[in-house]
Amino acid sequence: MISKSLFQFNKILNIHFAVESNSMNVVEIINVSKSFNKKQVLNHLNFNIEDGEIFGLLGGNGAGKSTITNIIFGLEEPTSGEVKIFSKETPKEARNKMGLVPQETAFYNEFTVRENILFFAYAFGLGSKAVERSNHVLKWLDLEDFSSIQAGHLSGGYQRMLNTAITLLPDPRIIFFDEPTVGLDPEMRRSFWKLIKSLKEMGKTIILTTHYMDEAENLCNRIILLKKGNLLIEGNPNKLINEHGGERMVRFELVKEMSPTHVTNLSELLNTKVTLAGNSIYFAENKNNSLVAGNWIEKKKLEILSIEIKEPSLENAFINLLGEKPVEVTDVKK
Amino acid sequence: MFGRRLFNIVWKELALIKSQRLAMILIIIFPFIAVQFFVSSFSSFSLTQMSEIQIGLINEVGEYSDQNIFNFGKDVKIVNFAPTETNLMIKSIQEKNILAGIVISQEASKRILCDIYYDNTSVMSAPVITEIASAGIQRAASKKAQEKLGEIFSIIRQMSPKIKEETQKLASFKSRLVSAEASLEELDLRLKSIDINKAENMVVEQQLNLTDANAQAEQIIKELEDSQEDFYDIKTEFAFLKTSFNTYSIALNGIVSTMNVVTISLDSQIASLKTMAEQLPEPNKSAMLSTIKDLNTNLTLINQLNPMLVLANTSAQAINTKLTRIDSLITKMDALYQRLEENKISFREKISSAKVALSDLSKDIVVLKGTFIDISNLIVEAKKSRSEIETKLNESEVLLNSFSASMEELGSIDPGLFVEPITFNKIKAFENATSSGTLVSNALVIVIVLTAILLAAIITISERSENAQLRLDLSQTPKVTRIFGKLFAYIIVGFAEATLIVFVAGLKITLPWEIFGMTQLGYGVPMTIITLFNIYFAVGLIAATFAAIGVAVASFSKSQSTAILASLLLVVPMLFLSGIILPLEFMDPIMRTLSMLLPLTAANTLLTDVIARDMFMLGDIIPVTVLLTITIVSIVLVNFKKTIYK
Repeated sequence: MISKSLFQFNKILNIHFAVESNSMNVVEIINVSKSFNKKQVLNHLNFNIEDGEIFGLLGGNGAGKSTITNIIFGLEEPTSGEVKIFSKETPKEARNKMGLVPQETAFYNEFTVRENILFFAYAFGLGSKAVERSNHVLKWLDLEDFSSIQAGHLSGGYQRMLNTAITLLPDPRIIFFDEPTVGLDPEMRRSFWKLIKSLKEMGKTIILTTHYMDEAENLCNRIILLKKGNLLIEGNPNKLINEHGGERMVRFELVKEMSPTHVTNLSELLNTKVTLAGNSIYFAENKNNSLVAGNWIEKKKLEILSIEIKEPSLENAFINLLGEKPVEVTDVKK
Repeated sequence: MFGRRLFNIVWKELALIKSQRLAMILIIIFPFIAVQFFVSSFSSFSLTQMSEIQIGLINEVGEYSDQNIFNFGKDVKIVNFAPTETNLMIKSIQEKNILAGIVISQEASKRILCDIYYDNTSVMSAPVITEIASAGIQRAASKKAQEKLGEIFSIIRQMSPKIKEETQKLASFKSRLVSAEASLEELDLRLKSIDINKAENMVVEQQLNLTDANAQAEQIIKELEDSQEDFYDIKTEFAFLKTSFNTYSIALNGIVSTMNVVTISLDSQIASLKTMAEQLPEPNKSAMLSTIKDLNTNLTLINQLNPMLVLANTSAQAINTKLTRIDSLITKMDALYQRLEENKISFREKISSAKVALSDLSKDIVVLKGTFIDISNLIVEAKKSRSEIETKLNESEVLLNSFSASMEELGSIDPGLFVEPITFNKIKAFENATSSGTLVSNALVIVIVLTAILLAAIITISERSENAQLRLDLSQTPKVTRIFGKLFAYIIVGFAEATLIVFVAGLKITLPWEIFGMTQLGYGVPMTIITLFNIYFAVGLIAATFAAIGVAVASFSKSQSTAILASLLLVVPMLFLSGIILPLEFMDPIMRTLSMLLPLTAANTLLTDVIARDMFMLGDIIPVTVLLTITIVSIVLVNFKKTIYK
């Protein structure tokens, strides 16, 4: 049910994407290459990030996500190519319009929440507006109650929230979220998703990296997939799922392992490949063949423990495209 | 806006410093301990006021008593060792029971030999202790020398009349020299009268005569030897002749006997024949009688030979007599030649002996001749020396007269001047400076340097590890502002520490009881407003410099522990080369120059000049330049270090 509802939500987002597709490019990556010690890390990358979209930057380890992030924020220069922010500015020039929410917290653990917020507000050059803005952000992200607590003593979720709050202080137009929900409980994840969506609704452009494919599916209007510095594919998640997410799979979990003869017979009956994995069998769902299979198993008096239908997913698309899982993380979807 | 941002960074840095537990120790407790204990430990240090120190002594020379040698203070304890206990004394030094050991002995020349044994593993105290011991011994030796000088002085005063006597003796000596020269003249004349060449010629002549005589004698010997050979030939021939004659004589006697037998036989045979002829008929008888007649004729002939044989026999006897006589003569000649042979050997030996004697005589004459020349030369030299001696004696006489006059003048001087010829006055180059001031400046340097470099490094790494640095890199606060903000924060920390140290150093509160050797709190180091201004100015510069170094070290370190280690690796060697632990004057000149370029040396020099010497800080151009340069270099290095998001 959850998957279905998210799927529906994505469709709505896609409509939104379609509506906004004519909007301006806030980030333009033009033929960008980067090499370290003759090792090519980025290879002639070309993509744009449009104003107001949630842009997913996906890829396995070593894909080049960190390098392109550093280049977008002007922390590194590309070996060749060009990055334009808001069509005309260089990353360094546009730095005050961009905010980075690092995966790991980036504040002073020794300071209180308010001290951190105020310090960075002044550091971001808010000047006389620093106090007002700080109060606003504290309230916005529900951090007021923790304002006098030392940042290092906050729970992991609120530390992430403070991390985000600091980034939001200068009200950046482009916000980069790097693995924003890693290690968070589901409730806090939902809060972050809600926050990201609300930021989008505020007209912010969000760049998101995540290893949770459901997160990318649910949040991103558009994603790109990087592999070893190359742009593998670009598009909206639904399109990628449809094209590369594979078939809808049915899994029957049995009490006992099915015999090979039964597996062959069932395969012939369904006219599709049946895969045996321990006490489970898998096959692609097609024209109610799952009902046929269920009846056949019952006739054979093989006891069924559970039935599961696996929808085509971005994770499958990721695996199919990259030949590997995005990263070893807890499967939240389950 | 810049000011607000700078203040923001300074506030941040101070808040971070405040949050570090180490910071509180470094800023508050460390300065107090450093200044109070460090200064207290060394402020009473003086070479002449050393206390509770034990020195080993082996004194083999009686007159150098312990009191004569050491005069450092009543608390210096002398530990005496027997002359055979040198190894025991060395062991005591090794076990740190005694600080040093002294062995005093005397050489055959009466010179005092002093061996100083010391702990050469102690870099600082070893040279100091040896110098102290040397100085003490030199002082004792100086006192002894002064005593001896006093004795000499009294002797000198007594010498003046004696010198006059000596001058008179010199005149007498000069007259004796003149008489010696006359004797030399006479000797020279006598030597010249001896004609050594004549004697030499005579020896040569005798050698020639001897050679001639020897040649003639050899000729005679040769002729005698020739005649001796002839004589032996005659002797041989004579022996043969004598043998032949004996054979002939025997043969002659045989012939006579045979002739007598033959005559008698023939007479008998003729008579027989005659009888037979008588009986024989005629013709036979006549033939027989004719034969008998022939026989008679032959017999007659034979009988006629008898007197000849007798004569021959007589002659033979006469010859035999002569031969006997000749034989006797030959025997005598043999004896004569034998004696001649013996005399020949003896003759040759005597000739040879005479030759050797003459040769020796000739050599002796040559030596004698050389000796005569040497003596003659010596006489010339002696005459020359005499002249020189006379000149010298004249000069000595003048000198002695002058010396005598000087002695008389010297005798009028107060001998007390020689007992203490020099009066030492120690005058401070810096009138108001005290060693406490120097030690306070040393303590302040150590405190500021360690605080600034360590805290700056620790906090910079902490900011980086907390990703706060990344945020600031992406913020509107420029990197330079952030670095300067940091430096200002450490300047403020430095001011706080300086205030604490200056306050403690300036106080002087006597404690009711002694704590760890301390009898007072603070040292009463004089501080004027200008001094305080200079101190804060210097402390600010030093704190900024070392904070900049700390930030630079942290920028290139991967972790906090690496940054702390790197900071200490920088500070500790600099501490040894800065003049705080070991005086700069002890260092090699090249290293001393290089040391002047080290920030810690510059910091120490600057603070010592400002606190102890009360100099104006900006007048210290080199240290100020060094600190400013290093600060700028560090800031530039930090500014170029990029932050990368990973």
